[in-house]
Amino acid sequence: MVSGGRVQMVSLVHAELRKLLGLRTAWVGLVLGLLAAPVLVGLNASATRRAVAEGLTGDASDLAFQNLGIGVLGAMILGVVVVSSEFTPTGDDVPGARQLTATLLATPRRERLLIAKGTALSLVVAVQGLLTTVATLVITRWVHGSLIPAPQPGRAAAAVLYWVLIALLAYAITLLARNGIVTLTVLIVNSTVVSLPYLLTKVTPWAAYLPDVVGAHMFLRSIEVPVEIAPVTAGLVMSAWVAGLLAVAAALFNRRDA
Amino acid sequence: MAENAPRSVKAGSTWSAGLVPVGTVVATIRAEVAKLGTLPSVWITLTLTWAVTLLLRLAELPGSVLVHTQAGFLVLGVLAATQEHDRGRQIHATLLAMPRRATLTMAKALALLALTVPFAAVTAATAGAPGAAGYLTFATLAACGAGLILRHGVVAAGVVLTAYLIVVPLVRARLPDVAAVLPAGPVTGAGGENGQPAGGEVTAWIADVDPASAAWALVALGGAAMTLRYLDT
Amino acid sequence: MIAIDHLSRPGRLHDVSFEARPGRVTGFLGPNGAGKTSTLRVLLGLDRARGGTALVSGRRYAEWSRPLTVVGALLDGSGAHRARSARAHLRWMATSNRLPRSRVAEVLDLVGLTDEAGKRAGGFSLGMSRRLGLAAALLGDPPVLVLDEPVNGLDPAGIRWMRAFLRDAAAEGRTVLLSSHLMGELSGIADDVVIIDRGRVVASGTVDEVSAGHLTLEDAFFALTAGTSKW
Repeated sequence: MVSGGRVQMVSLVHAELRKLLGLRTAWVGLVLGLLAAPVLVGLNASATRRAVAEGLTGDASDLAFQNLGIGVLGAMILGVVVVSSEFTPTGDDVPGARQLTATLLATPRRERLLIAKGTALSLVVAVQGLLTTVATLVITRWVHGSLIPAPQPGRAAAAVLYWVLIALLAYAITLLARNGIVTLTVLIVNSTVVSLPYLLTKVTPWAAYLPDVVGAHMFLRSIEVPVEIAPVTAGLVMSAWVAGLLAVAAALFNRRDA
Repeated sequence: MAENAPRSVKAGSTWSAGLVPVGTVVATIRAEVAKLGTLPSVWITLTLTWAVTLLLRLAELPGSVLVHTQAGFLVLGVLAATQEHDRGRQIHATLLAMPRRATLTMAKALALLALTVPFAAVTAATAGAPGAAGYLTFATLAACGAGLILRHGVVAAGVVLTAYLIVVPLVRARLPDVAAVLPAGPVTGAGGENGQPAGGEVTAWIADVDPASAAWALVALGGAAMTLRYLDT
Repeated sequence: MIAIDHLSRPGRLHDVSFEARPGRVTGFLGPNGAGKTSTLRVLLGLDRARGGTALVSGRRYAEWSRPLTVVGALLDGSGAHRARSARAHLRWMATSNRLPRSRVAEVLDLVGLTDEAGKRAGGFSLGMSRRLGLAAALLGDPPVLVLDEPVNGLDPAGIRWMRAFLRDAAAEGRTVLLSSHLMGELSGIADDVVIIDRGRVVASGTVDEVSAGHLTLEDAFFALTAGTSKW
């Protein structure tokens, strides 16, 4: 029975990968995520050079990684699409008809379905994050040369983990809200140049522990918040947020009618 | 009065573009207002946007809170447009009732305008930056245009929010040469960082709107009219 | 074999019990809003009941690890994302239940959608959409078929085809449960009938048993559900 369950999970993940990668909107997220950070390296090049020359940067090693914090938008879109595509009307003029019906007929055990979806999403975003991180770091090196210290592999790995966790965060919020617009609004407002949680830390230092803000400490060193957060602590806090939200979302998804 | 009737119809037709009688245009606008006003998601968006603006203002955040809460206006514009394509394709019923697509787009914009202007004024005042109301209104209209073109709520919200909250501020900061053609954002005018108008209230309202914001709204709505005109629904 | 036992759902279903047996077509009949779709959605694990059980071949739907091989279901709409092609929709469904990929081409052929298989499901007509839904239901070659208003949106040739298909399925020993609000549609193909009204089963048995004492099944239906339909 155990191996049977494992075989089944593999095919469920396979089916979810097929579903996700068969959507145009998912490819928008994939391509956007792949391109945004490398493009930003170019766009930011002169400003970065100036900042380093004038000694304005807190930690020069951050410069290679900073752009990854915005490219993560692509991962976020994937996390939204993986759920919102289930709730999109199917287009044949039948009110209430949506893909979720077919999905639950094929996979009626909802917790398995959610695990398969989360796994498929994590796999796609991990590959996307890895490619983007490597590309961004290589381009940064090529543009700036020795101006910026060589990136450490550990921080690159942490950046990829951050991408996966952001995607799962978007996944959980969209499951809770059953609406992709809510998730996009919340997460994009948080990714603005001067992000809202960053401003909130001026009011209460606890705002630094909001999921998407705290996670950045995993791979960035000089974030101006009133509290010091170690990379491992940051990873744990963000993972706990994501796990908690996913648990609540799963419990609700299990209870609600489809 | 009876002998005046044909004349008034004729006068009406000269009043509006494309020979659509004024009465029809007015009725279409009223129908669009009714459609907007009966959507729960619109009211939820309005309430939340205002409430969050107030909360952030009370929390005394540095800078203008509208930089963030403009997101609510963008969502409002997207919802106003994409409701047509949600459940059961309301757009079919809409187009049966009003087959003139340019008129329809105009009516949608005016209906949204009627809702947005007072809301923008109240929210901008709440944020302590009354001068930003014009910018917010045009951002809402631009989002509506984008929604009508993209026809998909999640996609339109993603595009519009990314453009206004992330891409525009970034490009403005990095490439000053093209800044003039990008919306200035809710921090406007010469009146300091909160965007408080420097001069008289009413004139500052108009003076504070940068031409690029208005141009983006017009381009988006023009594109929407073209989309509705030339693409099947 | 389908066994519905004392199913209840506040405001919708009150103590609904009936069976659908292998080798027979069971018609589930009732006016709009009587609880037909609600019962079927509970049976298929989409909605939850407050009390009672709904079993397919002895288990709840959600307990089957490859449900598409046990039950084929046709509900409102095709369930295909509008941006996806018919073939892509069937492929992911097949993958999720470990069905051979060759089944996709087979069922597309069976419902006559082979030529349209590469088109976006969002552009399908109502009839094509229903056929895609039926193709999905047949993917796992299931011994039980559950169909909600199966002939809705079909043209006369399609209706004729569907009737013959359902009769054949029962002749092969499958359990066929189909809901309908049209009596005429059922009288030719159903062996057994269950009539539901305002969430309660008001009659069940063979067509002859239920229509006993009335001229036709249609007369029996109106006598049993008198005054509930606003028409």
